[in-house]
Amino acid sequence: MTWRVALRVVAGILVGLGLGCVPFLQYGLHGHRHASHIAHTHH
Amino acid sequence: MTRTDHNAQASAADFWTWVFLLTGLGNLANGLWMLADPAHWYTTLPAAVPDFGPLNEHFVRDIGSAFTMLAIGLLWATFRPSVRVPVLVLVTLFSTLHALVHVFDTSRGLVGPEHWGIDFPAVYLPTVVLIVLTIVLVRRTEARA
Repeated sequence: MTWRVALRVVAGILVGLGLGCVPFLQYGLHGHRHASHIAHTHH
Repeated sequence: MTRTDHNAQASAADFWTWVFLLTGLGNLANGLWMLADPAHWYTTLPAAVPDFGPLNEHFVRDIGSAFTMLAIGLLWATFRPSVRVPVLVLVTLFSTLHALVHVFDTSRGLVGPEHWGIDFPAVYLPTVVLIVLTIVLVRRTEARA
């Protein structure tokens, strides 16, 4: 695998993760705090 | 160019294979989550969904059906490069219309101005990226035809 191919694969993985997994990455970063906020303000 | 050339096999070394695969898996997870447990999705997704109105489990499942359908298309296109352009165009159209609905509802005050920022990473930015990817893939495909 040349470095160009490796770069393409890494770029594809980063773009794919960005497009497909942003909500889940957000949840991992601060989802629990946000869910707690919703529970306090909407119930 | 022969039909065999045009329907080239998907390759793990291809940028587009990873984009379609991971975007498809993300949409599949989101769609199945909406279908399986709408109330949990509504209260847990870190996008302040309750700001848009009360929970309607039926409508969450309706939208979950759309996300699951898009995911199936993306996963199909992962392993069938010849359908990537039409699948990506449809996914981008859905994302664009979805983003315009968010613009409309935020502009008319259904939700507060903080939603410009809340919706940016999961709605607006992905739509811009999808539009760019669609233009690139269409041009590349036309150049090879």
